[in-house]
Amino acid sequence: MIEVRDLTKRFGGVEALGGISFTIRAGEVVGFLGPNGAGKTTTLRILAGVFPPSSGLVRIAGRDPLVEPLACRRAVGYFPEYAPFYPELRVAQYLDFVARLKRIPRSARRAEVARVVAACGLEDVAGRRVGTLSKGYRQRVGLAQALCGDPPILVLDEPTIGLDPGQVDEIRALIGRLRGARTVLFSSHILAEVERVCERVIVIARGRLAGEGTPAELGERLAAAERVWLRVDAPAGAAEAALRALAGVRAVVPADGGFHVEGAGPDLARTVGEAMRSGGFTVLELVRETLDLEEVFRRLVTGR
Amino acid sequence: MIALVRKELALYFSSPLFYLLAAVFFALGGWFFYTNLSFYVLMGGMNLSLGFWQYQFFDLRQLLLVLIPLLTMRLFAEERKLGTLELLWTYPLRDAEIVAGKFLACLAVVGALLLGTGLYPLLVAPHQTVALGPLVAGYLGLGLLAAACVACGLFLSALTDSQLVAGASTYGLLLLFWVLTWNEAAVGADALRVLKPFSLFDRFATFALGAIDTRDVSYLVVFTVAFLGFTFLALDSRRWRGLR
Amino acid sequence: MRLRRAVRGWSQLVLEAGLLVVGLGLLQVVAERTNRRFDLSPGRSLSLSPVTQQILAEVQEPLRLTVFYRRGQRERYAALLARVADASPHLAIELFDFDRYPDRARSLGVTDYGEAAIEYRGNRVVARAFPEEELAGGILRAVRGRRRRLLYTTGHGERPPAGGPGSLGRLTAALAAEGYAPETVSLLDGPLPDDADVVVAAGPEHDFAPAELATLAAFLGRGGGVLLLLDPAPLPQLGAFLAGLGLRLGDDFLVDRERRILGTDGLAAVVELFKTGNPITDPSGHPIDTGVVLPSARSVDVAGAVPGVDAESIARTAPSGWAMADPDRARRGEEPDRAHHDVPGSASVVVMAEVGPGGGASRRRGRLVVVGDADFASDAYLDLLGNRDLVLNAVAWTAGEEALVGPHEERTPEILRPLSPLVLSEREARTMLVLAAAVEPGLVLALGLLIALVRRRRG
Repeated sequence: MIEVRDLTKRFGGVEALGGISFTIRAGEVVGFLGPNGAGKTTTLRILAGVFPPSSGLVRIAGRDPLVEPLACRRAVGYFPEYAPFYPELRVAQYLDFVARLKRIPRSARRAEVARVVAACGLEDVAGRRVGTLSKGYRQRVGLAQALCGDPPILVLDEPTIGLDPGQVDEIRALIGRLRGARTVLFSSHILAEVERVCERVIVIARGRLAGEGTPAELGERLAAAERVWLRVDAPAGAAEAALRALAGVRAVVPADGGFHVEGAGPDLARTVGEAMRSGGFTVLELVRETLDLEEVFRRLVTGR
Repeated sequence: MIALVRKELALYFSSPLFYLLAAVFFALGGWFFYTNLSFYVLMGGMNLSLGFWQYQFFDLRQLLLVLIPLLTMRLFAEERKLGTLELLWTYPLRDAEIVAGKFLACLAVVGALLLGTGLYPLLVAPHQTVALGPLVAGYLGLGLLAAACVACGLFLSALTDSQLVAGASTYGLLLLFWVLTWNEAAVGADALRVLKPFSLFDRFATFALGAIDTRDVSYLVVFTVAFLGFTFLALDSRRWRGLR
Repeated sequence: MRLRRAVRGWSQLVLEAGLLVVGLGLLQVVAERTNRRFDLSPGRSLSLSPVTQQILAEVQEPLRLTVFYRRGQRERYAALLARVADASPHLAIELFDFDRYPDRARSLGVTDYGEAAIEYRGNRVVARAFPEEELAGGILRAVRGRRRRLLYTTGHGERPPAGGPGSLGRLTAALAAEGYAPETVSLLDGPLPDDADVVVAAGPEHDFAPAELATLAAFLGRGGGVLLLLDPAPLPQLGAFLAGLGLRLGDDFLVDRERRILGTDGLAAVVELFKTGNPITDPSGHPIDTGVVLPSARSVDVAGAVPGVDAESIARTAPSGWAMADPDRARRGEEPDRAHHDVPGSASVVVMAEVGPGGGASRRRGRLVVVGDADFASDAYLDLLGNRDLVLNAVAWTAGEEALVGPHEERTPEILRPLSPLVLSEREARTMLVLAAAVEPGLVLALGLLIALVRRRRG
């Protein structure tokens, strides 16, 4: 449904995307993960038709947005970050406006607006001005706008940002309902949230693809990516050799009189600690280090 | 595109600021009308068609200069600030339609206000036959001038996300086109000759006097098209400049 | 149908913007060159009159126009000069503040505010730059290189050329603007000067002496031009003279009871029928279509063919008119009827004739125009309908000045479409103020408030 190959985007001298490729099949719900500034929004914007890539191939439902931009836009419902809205328009009025812009024929418009209002639970506020709604409702209006016209593809940029957990659940439920019927690509920088809804996750960092896979796989790798900081009272090479010999240890990096030990979890700390004791080394310091997302992704890229 | 026009009109007519602007516009226009009329009658003005409407149109021109930037400043700047411009670019809507839609909506609003000034000839009509000729020429001139100013304001609004900056710069640019030939004593005769054809406001003069020069019509149209074109280019530049 | 849009950069943007500006700029240049003006102002006050345009058409070599204005009045001249400049490619026009450039003014012979120095082919003429006729007249003088002499006859109770009751002040001024230096002459003083262009008899009350008529005849024979404006007064000798040329001068008084023109005591005759194709009533396709009003007219017609004279009647009164045989009865206001030998129907009032064989290098045939009225050209009536055009065209043709024949600047016909001065009472003015400056804006504010309230209620 969506195909992206070697996608790059430069703004002036700044490279926002340095070459990304992925494919999304029809009916999939895919999460788009990455730290802030990774290029998620830029990619989503390209897919939504806001601007073209600097180079690379994009296919939306088989069409090339450079050749058939309007047709591609019609196939995609977009929800931008921070859910922009016109404060002075009423919900129904706004959705009608969107329906017109999306070229829904007059005969079907009313029904379509009613449909998305119902789908997003906006019946109670349909007559109120969007500016007077709570953030949760506004986000729903944004989703309704994306759903309007029933596009086969939905591209959502951080649809749950700033919402309270209850509201987040609602959005997630909504997205979940679309699985199979629609292709959904939504972005987030919270893995936990993504893994509950998505079948697949694409990870992007610093403008490049950092990894791809099902949430389970990712979780595994994350779980597999633990790190501890170790200081032992032992002759230099001995401790290191012992550490490297440990099963599941992937890397031993000496630094500052100690070692960063990376390896498979769970509970690497215990493993290392026991190994040191049994090796006769006195453990001076053993600290579990949290891996930042950056490092996770980096590891995902390097595959270790 | 019509949907966009409708939305813009809805936003204009639902904003209290607009009604305030319109009321002030009519109040001033009416006041000018009264003072011009009094002055003219006092001077023993025989036939209003020969000269009175000229002054009225010049005053209306001034009012347009004051009014239009206030109407155009929100056209793109507000959308940009709200973030809704990005959203517009994901609908099956061409950039040209966006430009045209906003332009037409604003022009329609200004047109409605100009229509309201049609009250003045109506007030005079029971007292003296009003020749249609000068009125046709004058309103045509005002309409074309309004289109030119709206296009200019639209362009400047597309360059920024601050309505304030958009409005202020529109005033600045329009004033530039006005004061170009304002002070003939300061500007030399040669410079005057070169600059005069560019002055938006001198171009309007013939219309106010009751004649339509095709070259003036052409200039105002060219001016409008140029700025609409620039607006389109400004929007289009997002493709390689990004959304900022 | 979109071309593959490659990503662009600043240079391409500037290029596109530049192309747009250049393309539009070229369009504008074409528009400037091919300007057409639609003058919707009443009286077409924003276009040059056809006479002025004809005069400008005669300018074939560079003509320099330097106008000196009083500070603050530049606009007044600038507009007219702009129109003049548009009409001819040979004009170089400059405007100077008289007080800032007194030396330049003096060197060009300009001594007063609002004068223009017109230089053409070595001639220099100083004329007023406003109104249009004066400027055009000045240009014509510069183009021609000389003034024309127009002689008014005296000694028969003619209307004075300037001042006094029933005078021809406005006509004289208009003629002066066109470059005719007016003088008076007595036909008893010997032969008329050779360089005189036109001799005008404006409403003689007493008859001409035979010697005077002989002088006129000789003048005609030399190719001169004679314009006779004759009110209904007994002029037997003159009548006989004209009869000798095949023209019949009627002793009647023409009235038109149906078309009572405001301000003419109901005695005026209205000329409605004009011969087409002649340079006086139908110059180059601009017929005098508004008619002419003759406050006290007599008939003048072609009686029969006379060898050496080509005459034709070129204007006739409306068919609703009457020719009353007794002028006194007409002046007393009595109704015309056949019992008193009054003749109904259209009567000829203007005759133009070419007299003499002509021949010789600059010799042309003598030109004679006889109009059966004089007061139509007086100050009181000159600006009614087409009166001005008729008399100016007649002078122009008689003088042999074709360029001046044509519709002159149009005056708003005040008689046919009475436009009274606008007089407003205090109350009316106040009503207008209230309606325009308070009610209309007030309604708008009310509307705004209403909408705001409704919205607040509906949330």
